[in-house]
Amino acid sequence: MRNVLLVSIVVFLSFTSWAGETLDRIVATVDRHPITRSDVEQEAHFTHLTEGKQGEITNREEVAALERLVDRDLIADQVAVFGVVPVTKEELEARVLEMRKQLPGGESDSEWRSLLAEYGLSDEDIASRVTQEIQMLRFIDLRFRSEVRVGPRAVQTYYDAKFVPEMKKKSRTPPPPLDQVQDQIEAILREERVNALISDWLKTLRTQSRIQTFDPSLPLSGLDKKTPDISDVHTLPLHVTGPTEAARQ
Amino acid sequence: MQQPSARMTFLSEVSDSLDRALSFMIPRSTLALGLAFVSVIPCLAGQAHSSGPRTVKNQTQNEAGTASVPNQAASAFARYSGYRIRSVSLKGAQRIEQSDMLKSIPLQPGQILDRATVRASLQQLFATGRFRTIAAEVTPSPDRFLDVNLVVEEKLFIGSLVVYGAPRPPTANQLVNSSKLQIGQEFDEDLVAAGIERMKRVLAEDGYFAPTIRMDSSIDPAHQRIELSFIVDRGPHAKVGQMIVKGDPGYPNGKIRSIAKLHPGQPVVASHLSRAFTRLHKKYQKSDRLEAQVSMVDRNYHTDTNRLDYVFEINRGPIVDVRVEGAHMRRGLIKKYVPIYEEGAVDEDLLSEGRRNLRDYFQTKGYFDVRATSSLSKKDGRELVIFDVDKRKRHTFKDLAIQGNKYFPKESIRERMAIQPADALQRHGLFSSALLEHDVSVITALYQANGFQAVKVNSKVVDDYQGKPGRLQVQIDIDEGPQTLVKSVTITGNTTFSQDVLLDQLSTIPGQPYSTYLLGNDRDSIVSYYFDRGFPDVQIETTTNPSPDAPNRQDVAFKLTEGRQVFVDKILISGLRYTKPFVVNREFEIKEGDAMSQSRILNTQRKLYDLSIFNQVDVAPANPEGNVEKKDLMVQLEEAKRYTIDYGIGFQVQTGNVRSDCENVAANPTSTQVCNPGGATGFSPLVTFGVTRANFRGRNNSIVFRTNLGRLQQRALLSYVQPYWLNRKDLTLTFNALYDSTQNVLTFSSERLEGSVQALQQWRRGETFLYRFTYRLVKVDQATLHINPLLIPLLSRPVRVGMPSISYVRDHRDDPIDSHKGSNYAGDFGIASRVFGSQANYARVFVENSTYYTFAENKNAGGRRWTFARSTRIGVEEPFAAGGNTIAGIVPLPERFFTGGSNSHRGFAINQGGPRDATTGFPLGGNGLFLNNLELRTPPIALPYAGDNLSAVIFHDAGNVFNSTGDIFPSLANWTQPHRETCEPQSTQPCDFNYISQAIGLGVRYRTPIGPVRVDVGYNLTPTYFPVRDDPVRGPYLDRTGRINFFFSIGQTF
Repeated sequence: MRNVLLVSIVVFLSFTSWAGETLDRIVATVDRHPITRSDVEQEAHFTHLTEGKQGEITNREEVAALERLVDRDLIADQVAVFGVVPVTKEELEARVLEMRKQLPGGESDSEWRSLLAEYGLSDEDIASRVTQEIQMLRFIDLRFRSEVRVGPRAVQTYYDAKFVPEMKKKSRTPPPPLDQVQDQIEAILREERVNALISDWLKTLRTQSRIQTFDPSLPLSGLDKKTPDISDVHTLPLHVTGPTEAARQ
Repeated sequence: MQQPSARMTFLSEVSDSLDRALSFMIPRSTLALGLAFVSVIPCLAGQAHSSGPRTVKNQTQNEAGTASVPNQAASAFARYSGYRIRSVSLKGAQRIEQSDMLKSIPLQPGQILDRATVRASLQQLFATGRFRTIAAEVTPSPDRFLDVNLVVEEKLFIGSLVVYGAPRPPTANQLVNSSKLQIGQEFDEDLVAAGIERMKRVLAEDGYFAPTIRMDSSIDPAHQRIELSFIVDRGPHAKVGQMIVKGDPGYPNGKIRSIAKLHPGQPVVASHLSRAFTRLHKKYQKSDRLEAQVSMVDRNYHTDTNRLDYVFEINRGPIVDVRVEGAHMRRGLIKKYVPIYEEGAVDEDLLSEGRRNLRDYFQTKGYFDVRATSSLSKKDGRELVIFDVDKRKRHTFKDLAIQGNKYFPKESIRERMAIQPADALQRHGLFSSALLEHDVSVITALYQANGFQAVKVNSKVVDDYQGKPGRLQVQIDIDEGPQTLVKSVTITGNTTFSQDVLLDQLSTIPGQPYSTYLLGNDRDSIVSYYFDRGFPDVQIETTTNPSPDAPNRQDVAFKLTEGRQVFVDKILISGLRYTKPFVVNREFEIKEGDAMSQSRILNTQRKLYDLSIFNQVDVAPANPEGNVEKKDLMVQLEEAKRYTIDYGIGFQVQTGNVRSDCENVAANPTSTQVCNPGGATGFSPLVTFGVTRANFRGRNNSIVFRTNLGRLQQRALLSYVQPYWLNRKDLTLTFNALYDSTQNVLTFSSERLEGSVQALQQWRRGETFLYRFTYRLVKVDQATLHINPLLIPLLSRPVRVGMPSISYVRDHRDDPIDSHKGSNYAGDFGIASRVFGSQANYARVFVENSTYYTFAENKNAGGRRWTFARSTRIGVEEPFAAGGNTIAGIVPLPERFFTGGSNSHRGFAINQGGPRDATTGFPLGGNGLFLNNLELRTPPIALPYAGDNLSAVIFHDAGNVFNSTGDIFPSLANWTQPHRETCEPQSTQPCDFNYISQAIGLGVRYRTPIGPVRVDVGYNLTPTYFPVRDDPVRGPYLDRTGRINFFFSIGQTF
């Protein structure tokens, strides 16, 4: 009887220790969009899948995943406002197929299924994720790539200041003439500028949006408590001097 | 082939080392690019934020995060894989009826646990906008069931925003507005902190540099409402310190300070500074420094001295001399038409605009060929701007010919045009090439709006029209082209409202002209129809296609996406201190459970303002971004002050007064200082004082006490007004007590003590009934009586009148103060009888009918229109003897009709019309009144200084007052005074006053915000002759009323 009672207590305690266990929760919001813990996990798993990583997700990877999700939400808002050509079923399938080809075992249906199961992902998760990416890249192409122009002077400067010195440092062969690598340098510079534009743009979007986090284990960068933003108030210039100010300094 | 490949590899290596991001972005295939982007974002985000300061805490957390940590949530899903949901509940919600939401989320009891379902449920709950955070917690049971608790943290929404302790300026409202916080929005500490900072900035602008603002809040968790109060401790008010001026101001510092009027020691006020800028700019403008630059480059506040120093930078710039040569133009007009003055700069754009303006100006003066050129030269630090105007020949725009119009009559086209051929008011007509161009586009738009998509409108100006030099004809040739009609209209996507209901909102109807303009209106109509019924997200796509089976026909289709419908949950009112809630509630056009209608909210807001007991009425739905079906409506009211005291000192002028140095015949029959029956002009200082107690007992009743005190008038009025009498919206009850001592009839001065009770019933729109019982005691001042003493017992005895009366008013005028269209009808019937405590027995009927007609309206020329207005007034009073008491059967003098004056018959001075005393010649009034007024009101006449505010009136007034009602209709045929010989003093027959006196006249009206200021000059064609028999100086003589009468007042005659 005593044993039965002991077992019962152990069983009871083991169950009560599970009571109130968190299954999922909202960990951040970007304006009106919530990001759940399971969104973060899914994003981290997807990265693991595409990078062929094994093992448990680290906290750093989760934070990185959350950063990506925030940026994606910000861009998705812009996509919704400006609109892009919708992704067709054929396009999606082609992209997913290409992705599978780059993953070991991804080409075989059965291995792809077990791969997805291993990373806790479903076909729907992949489809939704790839669709979103295609749309964003289209938007970025439309929004930024058409704006970027690379002139011959920039190419020449890059060639003289970076390409040739690096080439000399890494190889004994003489650097190729500019006309042979001009297209590649142009492409690099174009991407560099597009990246710079995207970077600035995302920075602005983050400033203009209301981003909140609710999980201390997932700290987002740039969301430190700061003085209230009242930059929209335009007043005449003002300097305060005197004992109070001096004491503060 | 080997080498390039090696180079390519190296190139990639170089780029890798230069920028990690680039290595991912260089596409090797489209897919690679797609996948690369996923990785690029964190790099970019890292770049974006790495430059900013990061707290040590975050860095520590990140560093700690490099270690692998077990994923609790993932493991929880894995651990409970295959478990079935037994129950789903909401935890932490304090709002009533919040748990109803659980019925609509995907997660339901009986389901197998699924991550996607849980996530979707969290997202759906979050989208309601009511929760700040949500977590799904589970409690498992040994039988593989899960009890799911959705643990929520509810948001709070701002229900009211009040600021106490505002220094004025800035006012409490200015501070609330500056905070950018709004009722209905989510409460967020960061936003509130920013709001407080904004308020501090505004306070600093008005010299409060060290304020403290404390926030108090009161939370109503059942409705997720938080009421915020900000208590301002303003701190010391800074004083103006030094004024430092940099640059080239051209004046010493002291002079600049005195121009700006920013003197040391004055309190710092934002408006003083803006006025200082204006004064400095004006000063430089006056000295022709039109390009002067005045700016504030710095302000230094010294906390130790509490002084604020201003640092101005002023560059006066060169003297700019603007001249118009070749034509005379007043300086004021040059400043009006040359934009250099207003813009404070000289550049080619402004010169070009100036040339255009001058050309248009001279064209409107008849110089249609005018040419204007400009030149700019600089010499000795001066700029000389010369506009050379070559006016050329002056023309008269004589004729406007419109040809080719079939669909619209010429009149319809002309009334939309701004160019006007010459007429009596504009001797040269109104024409300029800019106006003509505008008219052509107006006509084109008119046709296009009626389905003539291919219309062509051409204009041609013909000079020397009909061979006469200087005459101009404008020809408008219209090629209408085919008219496109609507073949069919279809609406799809509507689920809430039927197609018939929506079609009723449209102007685009099959068979009617097709117009893109109307289509736009129709789209707006449908949107506002839906919006007004709580569909904030409705979207409409309009498509039009040529009808395949009919030429010039269009098929129109509206495709709707209705979106969700939002209803009012609770109406939450704050700010009521004295006012009873029912006073506010009965004004609400929107109730709990109704669709969230924007127009009803605005109407409610308007009606609450109309009560005049609130300074501020703010209404906003809570949780504006949430997608819940029901939202609370937050209402914040700010009660107005309940006591208003007004006072004033003025001067009163009244014509037709008895001279003060004359004596009346009743008091002294032998006096030689007899008053002139024509009267004199009276002057008096006037003191007014009033107290209003609004919102009495918190029921929106009001008590008003008002006095006017002067030599010509002493008046005191006490009234009590109760709207919503008997709890009926259309009834208003008023009690009045009045004391009035006025001399408005030459014959006597009267003291009137009156009490009345009146119920006003707003029957229909513009139609009102007034039910009134008046009880008054009128006492004629015997010392001021100027009529035959024999009449005293009958006419001038003190009399008490008790009279119930009923009035009906139907006012369908476009503007009661300055009417141009519509009609006004008023009828009044009253009976004074002994039954009602009256000493005089008589019945009184008065009717008035006015109509207004507008013609030759020009919609494009600022609504220029002629108005013909007419008014007819008929009044009868019939005494009846009660019980054989003959005195009781006479209408007392103060109760009789009188005519004459600015609002009745402008051929007579005030109350000078009608029968007169046979001995003294003073007016006696009468029991019958007939008056007819005709007016022709011109459109505004553009004049220098007066602008478009001046207009003229030609009028004809005909009518009179008659001794008895029976005299009215026989007199209508008498257009001159009959039997004038009977009015000779020697005549033994009574003077006959039974005729219609006629006057013509002119008037001018100057438009002001309180109505037109009016000056009228009336010329009486048939003045009234009457005998004066008791003048001891002149002896008996025949007198007549004046022919010419001047009137000055505010508002139209009728």
